[in-house]
Amino acid sequence: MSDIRKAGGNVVKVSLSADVANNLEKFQRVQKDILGRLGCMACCSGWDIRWDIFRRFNVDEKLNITQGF
Amino acid sequence: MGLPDLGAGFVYLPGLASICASLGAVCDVVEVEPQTLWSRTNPGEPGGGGIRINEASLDSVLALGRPVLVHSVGFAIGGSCDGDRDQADALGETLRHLRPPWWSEHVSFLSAGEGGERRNVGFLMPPIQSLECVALVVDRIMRLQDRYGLPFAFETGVNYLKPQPGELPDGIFWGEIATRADCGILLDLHNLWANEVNGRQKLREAVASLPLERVWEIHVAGGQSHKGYWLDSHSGLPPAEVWHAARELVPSLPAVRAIILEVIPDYVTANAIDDEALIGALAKIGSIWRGRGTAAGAVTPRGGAAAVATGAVPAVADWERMVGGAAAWDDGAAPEALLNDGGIEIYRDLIGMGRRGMIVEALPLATRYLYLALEEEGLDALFGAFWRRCSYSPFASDEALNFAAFVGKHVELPHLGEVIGFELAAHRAALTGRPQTTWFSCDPEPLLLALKAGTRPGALPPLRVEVEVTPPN
Repeated sequence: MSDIRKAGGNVVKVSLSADVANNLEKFQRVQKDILGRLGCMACCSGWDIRWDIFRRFNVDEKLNITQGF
Repeated sequence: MGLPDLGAGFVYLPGLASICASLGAVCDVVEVEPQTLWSRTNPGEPGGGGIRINEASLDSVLALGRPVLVHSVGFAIGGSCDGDRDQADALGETLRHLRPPWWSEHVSFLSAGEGGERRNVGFLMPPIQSLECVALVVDRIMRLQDRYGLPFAFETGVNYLKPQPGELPDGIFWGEIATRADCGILLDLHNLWANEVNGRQKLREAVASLPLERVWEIHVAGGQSHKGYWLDSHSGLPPAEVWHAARELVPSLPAVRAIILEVIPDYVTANAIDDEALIGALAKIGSIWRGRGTAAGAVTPRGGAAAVATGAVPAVADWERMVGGAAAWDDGAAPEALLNDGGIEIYRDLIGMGRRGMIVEALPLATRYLYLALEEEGLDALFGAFWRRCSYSPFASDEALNFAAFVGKHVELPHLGEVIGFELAAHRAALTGRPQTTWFSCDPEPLLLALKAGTRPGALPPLRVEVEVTPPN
């Protein structure tokens, strides 16, 4: 995921791919093209499934999340 | 008007590209929602902040080798104000690039309020069906026809509100607009069926009021129920009643040129709609298409809206302020009767769902962190406060920036600002194609991996880390 290298002083420089932000297994599979959808979403004419997908992650008593489907 | 016969097709959205390639001979035409191919230019750059048209995506649509229609979904023509100038320019550029035989939009309103106080609602909202609104829409259509030099059709919209006292019936409202503006009608059969199921005018009664020779295009779609309403959610294949109406009505339409299936790509995956089902639906549309106009009667003069209008309806701008306020930012401006209309709650739900969807997609790690820390109730309350405070932005990148700023002022969680900074840097990297730098006060890897795995991050030792976020491959 990352390429870590020491920089001067106490600073550590890390290189991360923007893909990391979008690599959420099933969530990602349904989204397909997340960064492409940073654009204009127009006005959806109906129910927006993205929130449903987000909510379907089950949260246990330890607040661990598992995929709901 | 000499429009070409196009046939059966479907709405092309980025997530449906691969399906389109497999549809073969059953798909004669594709329809594009142009706004889905636009993004913001980087506001931090000289001349930035406008709209960037993804020409490669437009070219990939043309490369499908089928005629293309343009169905705009963010430049609605039913409001008291003209649409955004940037969108008008972007639409013009898109139309020049794709050169459709006609294009279409919705008779809805998207914003409400006066002058600088005007706010985006975040949804296609139903207009007040009055003679004032007819005149306003007709004027706007005529100007758009002049501006773009292309034939225009408007969509017959879904409306979750009860008919208002003194309002024109749905079919007469649309018929009057089409006749006076000399334009086409995009007859959305699923919208009309949803309207009928939800207590508005019956589908066949509405169609009987239309100048049928102006119906150039038909939409069919599927939906879902929610709180006793049928939603036009494009979440599946059309229900039997919509197929039945299409088969019954298309023969009486002398000028229909295309029949389009609408389905949202996310639902194709989530509802397991396979290629075979889509091909079957398009084949069914093809068979309905071949019966077009075979039972068309003589064209009858229409009109007469003035005879049924009582005039006892709100002014267009007042209607927008009441409905927009009640549905989107709860400002208490709506009368009791409107607040008691169950449709308002439907619009609230749909607007909230869309805004939440944009945020969880644009800031997936930060919203996961907020969900873990605040739980659903707390996150709901945070979203509600954000919506009341910040106007909707149709661009997900803008909505994410606004939400990030709001969260920065209202939520304190270890490293949350850094997670948000990382995700916004990822956006900038994607939008500019250049690496972006952001900072963490801990090792970002265990922090981000914990969130990615769905666990709340524990305490992390302090460390000053500069992160270079590279554009995605």
